[in-house]
Amino acid sequence: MKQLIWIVLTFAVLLSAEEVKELVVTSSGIKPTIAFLPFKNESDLKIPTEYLPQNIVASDLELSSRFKTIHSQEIDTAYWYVENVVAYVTGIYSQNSEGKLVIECRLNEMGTDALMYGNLYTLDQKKIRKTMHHFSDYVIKSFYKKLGVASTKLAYVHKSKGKKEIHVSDYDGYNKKRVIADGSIVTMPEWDVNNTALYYVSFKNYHGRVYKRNIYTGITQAVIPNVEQSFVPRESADGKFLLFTKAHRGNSDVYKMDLTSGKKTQLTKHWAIETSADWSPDGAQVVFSSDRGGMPQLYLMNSEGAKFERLTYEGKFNDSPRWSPNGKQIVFCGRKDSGRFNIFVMSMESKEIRQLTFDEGNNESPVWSPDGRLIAFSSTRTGKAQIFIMAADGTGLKQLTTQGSNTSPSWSHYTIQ
Amino acid sequence: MKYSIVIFAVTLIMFACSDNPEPVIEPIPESVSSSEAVISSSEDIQAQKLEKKRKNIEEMINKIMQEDVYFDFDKHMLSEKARDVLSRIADILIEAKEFTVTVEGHTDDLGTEAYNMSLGGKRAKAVFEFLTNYGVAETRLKTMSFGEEKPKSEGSTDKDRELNRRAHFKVSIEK
Repeated sequence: MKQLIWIVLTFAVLLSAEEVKELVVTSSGIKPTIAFLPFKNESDLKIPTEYLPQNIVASDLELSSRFKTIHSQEIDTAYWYVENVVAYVTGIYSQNSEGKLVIECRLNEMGTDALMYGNLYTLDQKKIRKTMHHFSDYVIKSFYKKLGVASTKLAYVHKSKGKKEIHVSDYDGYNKKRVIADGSIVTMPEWDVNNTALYYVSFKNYHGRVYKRNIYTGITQAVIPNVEQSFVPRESADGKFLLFTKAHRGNSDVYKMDLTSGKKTQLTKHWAIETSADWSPDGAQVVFSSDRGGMPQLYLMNSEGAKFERLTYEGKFNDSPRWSPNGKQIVFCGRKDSGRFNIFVMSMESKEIRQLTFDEGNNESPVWSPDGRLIAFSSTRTGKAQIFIMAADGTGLKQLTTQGSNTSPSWSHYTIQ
Repeated sequence: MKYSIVIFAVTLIMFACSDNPEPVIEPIPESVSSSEAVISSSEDIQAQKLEKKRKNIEEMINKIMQEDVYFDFDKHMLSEKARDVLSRIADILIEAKEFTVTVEGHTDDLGTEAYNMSLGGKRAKAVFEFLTNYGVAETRLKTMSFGEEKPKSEGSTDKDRELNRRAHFKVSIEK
């Protein structure tokens, strides 16, 4: 059997990425293993362990949930054969005359040593994680045709000392930065399609309303100014429309706004709570939560506010639905008899629901990575709410935040192409 | 080897183009307290008197409110006691015509953030409807929800949560 896998893997490079996935991942049930050699240091630099190129890339590939990784000191064909290694990562780093770091990165095929992907980066030392994430994304692309998400970012609400701010970090929790703090309560961040601005809700003018702030220039605008309250902003994939919840006389309904003309269309008209709307990737449909049946459940409608369909019947409280990037699934959080919130995924084809967390504290606000392989969410499993990511099947959990409490993650779109 | 150099060159160019700027780190601004925002800098004694009366009424109302007008978990209906408390507040408001009132609905931290934002609105609406039915002019009342954002009690015991499921009044001078 091993020999068969070996033959399959050896020729995998010659096949299309889909075929690789088919053969390596689906058929064999085995994730391809990538070996990592220490990058050769041709400089006087001493790089801390977590910033070593091979460690950053190995961590990215593990987090992608698509690879197994092993570290070796040198090429070790016998051991790698046993471990089903399909390729290895190796490289050299040095410092140029301007003090910049120069990193040569290679992904080589096991056996033939042929180059599958390579890049030569010149960078400021502080950009080493960003640079290696770029390499990781292309390593993933050379196997699966589509870029990985190591270069993407997360925005989330950070609360400490009773104050709420919006922070942005790399997808793996590194490089945390405060990007929005206006002295009032800010919450519900959501990336715009260009990854340059965040929609969010601020109470700075007393009313909680949706604002948009460019996190690079600091330019801020009130997006929906003339309403009692507005919240849960969600931009459509083409950037042309914004879904939001509007409260009028205390009653919440889902609206859509044309971002060019500012024209608002009411999509739900009901005395019940209708909120948490999210677009299907093609913008034709909207999933939202409503307690019109007595308790919050998920419903579908088209983007004109017609053709309503109830989606969930199980559980006492289902909310925060998010459509997967390929449109095939909806992730949401729900509460059953345990009284705790858990993360669930519904298949849009079969309407079957799979549970991903199991009462480890409250698990809320799930969001998809742009490739649909990972889910970020907040969980109280370690005490205060913190941001975690996991694979879409619930495996490979990683905690990203530890300070204060952290909630409401929003995952950026792809940042590289 | 030649092949790999070409790849190096091409991807290097690609990477150089895709380099994004770093986000601006936001300094923490001084917070603006709501009382500052309400008090005008005018020296006018009449205005000061009015402001004093406004403050008194707001305090009086919210003191009455402290006796009850809490809500059951995940509910926005008013209890008998809540109605009694609100009728006393309504009597005050009917007399004090120079003021407008915003009813703020609040929730505990159970439930999702978005739903709580809406639930707070429903609680405010329940109070709003009671007051208008009682005879307070609709034009003098506004509703507003803080959801779970402004807990009265920061803890997470049942008692804390009970205290946080509430309606609060903000009294303003009519413009």
